[in-house]
Amino acid sequence: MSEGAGPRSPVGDWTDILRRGARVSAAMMAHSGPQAAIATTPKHEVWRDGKVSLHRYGAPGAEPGPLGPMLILQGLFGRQTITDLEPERSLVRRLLEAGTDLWVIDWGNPTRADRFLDMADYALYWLGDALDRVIAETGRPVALMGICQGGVFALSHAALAPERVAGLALAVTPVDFHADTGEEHPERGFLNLWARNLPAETVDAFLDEHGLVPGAMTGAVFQSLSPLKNAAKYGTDLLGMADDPAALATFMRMETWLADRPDHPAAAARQWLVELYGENRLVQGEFALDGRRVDLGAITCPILNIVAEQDHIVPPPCARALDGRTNSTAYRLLDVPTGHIGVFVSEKARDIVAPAIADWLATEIGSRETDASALRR
Amino acid sequence: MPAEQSAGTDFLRQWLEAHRALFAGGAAPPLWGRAEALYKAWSDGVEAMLGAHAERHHGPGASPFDPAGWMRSEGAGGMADLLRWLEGPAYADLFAEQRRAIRSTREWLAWLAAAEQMKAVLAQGWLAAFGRFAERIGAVPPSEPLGWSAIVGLWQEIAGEEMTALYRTHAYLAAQRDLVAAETALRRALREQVEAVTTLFGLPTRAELDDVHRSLHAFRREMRGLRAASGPAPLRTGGPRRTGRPR
Repeated sequence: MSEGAGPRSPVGDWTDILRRGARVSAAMMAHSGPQAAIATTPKHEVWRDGKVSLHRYGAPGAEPGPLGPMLILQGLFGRQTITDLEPERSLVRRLLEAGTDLWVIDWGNPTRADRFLDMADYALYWLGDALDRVIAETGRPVALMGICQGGVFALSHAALAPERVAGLALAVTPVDFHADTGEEHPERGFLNLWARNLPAETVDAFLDEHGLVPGAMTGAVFQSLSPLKNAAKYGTDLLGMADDPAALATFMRMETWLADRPDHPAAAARQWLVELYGENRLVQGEFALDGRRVDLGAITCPILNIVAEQDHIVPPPCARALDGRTNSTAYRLLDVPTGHIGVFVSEKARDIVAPAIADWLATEIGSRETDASALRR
Repeated sequence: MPAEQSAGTDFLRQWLEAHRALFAGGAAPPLWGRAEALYKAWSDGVEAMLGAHAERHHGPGASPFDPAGWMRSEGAGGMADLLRWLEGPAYADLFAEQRRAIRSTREWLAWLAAAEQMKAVLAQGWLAAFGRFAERIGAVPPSEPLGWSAIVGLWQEIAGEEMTALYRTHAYLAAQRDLVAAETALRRALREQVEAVTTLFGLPTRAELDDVHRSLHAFRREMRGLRAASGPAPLRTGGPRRTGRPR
């Protein structure tokens, strides 16, 4: 049985529930709107192409950190703001404090008009444009920090345009999309199972009709992965925070992030759901972007693979499968005792992830700098 | 004689006697009593017939008299098949509007059936969870009542286990496949119906807009290729630099 509050008198219980409910309601009112603002670390826009924009953290003209440039890229199912949820739970702030020259790509909010954008547009072209811009500004090759689907973007780019990439820090990134079958925990890997369950023609028809995967639908699917945990989250967990204003504020900020889930363009979603989740083409060496095959063996740069040990969205075996599939000169695995999102926001990860990335940048990337003049487009 | 046939014969006898009473005048038994007997014979007959069908067709929705079966998807003998029959063969564009309307109704019924199928499968998981939960709660000694959070924790644990197991069953996966396919088919049928109307009034359709966006995407790819072939664009440092046009 789950650990509970233990026996109590019924009167005390219900009185307590009402008291906590009132406090939670008051706190939710107090922490709505601007109070629940996320991603508040100062940054400025450096480049934009339509909805896609590149930002550099810090004030314009500020002295960059000595660890060199690193570019954060999320995928298209969630927003990059998760890395900067609030000052006390900000991977971005921790990396800046460690001396990283930090950049971030914002993919914007695709609409139905963007339905024909595929992963080549994001992983190859826009990411290439952004990297060229960072290289032009800093004169150095760039370490990529790819998150989840963004990690697959980063891997693909490093395989197809290695000259731009100094190293890959991958967080909760699926590589072998069928490795969930080796997962010992039955509550993990439903995304893999359900995606494989849908025939390609059903996915095609769905994407053709919708033109995108609606963000609200993505959110509903994520919630259905663990319905009881979500019920508890908005029930007992929330009541348990009633006397902790800081926890309630964090809760509201997380809700802000969850509500900001973008729509996913259809063409890119087809590659993700059919070619990767369904056919597992990446590890088979058959995944291609705009006709160019993504060969993981072509990746030689240092890699830091950050795996969430309790990840129910990307089961750990799917992420750990990167080991041995590249020709990286220095491959590091970092297991973090959290779930998928906890890597970026949990207290447990706070003293693990940012220091590990900073150490990796200092020891693996800093010693391998290439003269920018040797870089070619 | 089978019960169904016997009830039918009884109904016919009562119906004849009721009519005789209606026209026989004062010597016949009261008309109200005859009507009651007629109703009883009718309801007995219907019950006997439904019972006989239930014996022949096992499972919910299997009998043609069970409404649950009327929403079966196409090809399974439900309303969708009846509508498909009504839709009839297509002769050029004759009755195209009517056929589109019937098709939308048919897909709507199929979607309802798929949604009901999913609800039924999920209900199995929740019912199993409730059963186990009730059993565990019932085993708690009255002298040691659980606190509310312990009760909620127990429910979360049990229901979590049941739903996790359910999500991997053949029934759930089949229901999920059917629901996605049915939702897509319904959406497509409705879109085609709406587009037929908008085309009539010269309004742009979703399909036309998609064509424009497809061309635009191909055009942008081509432009990118040409730009790359002509060499890297000069970069300037400082303020934001924009390439392309805001979309």
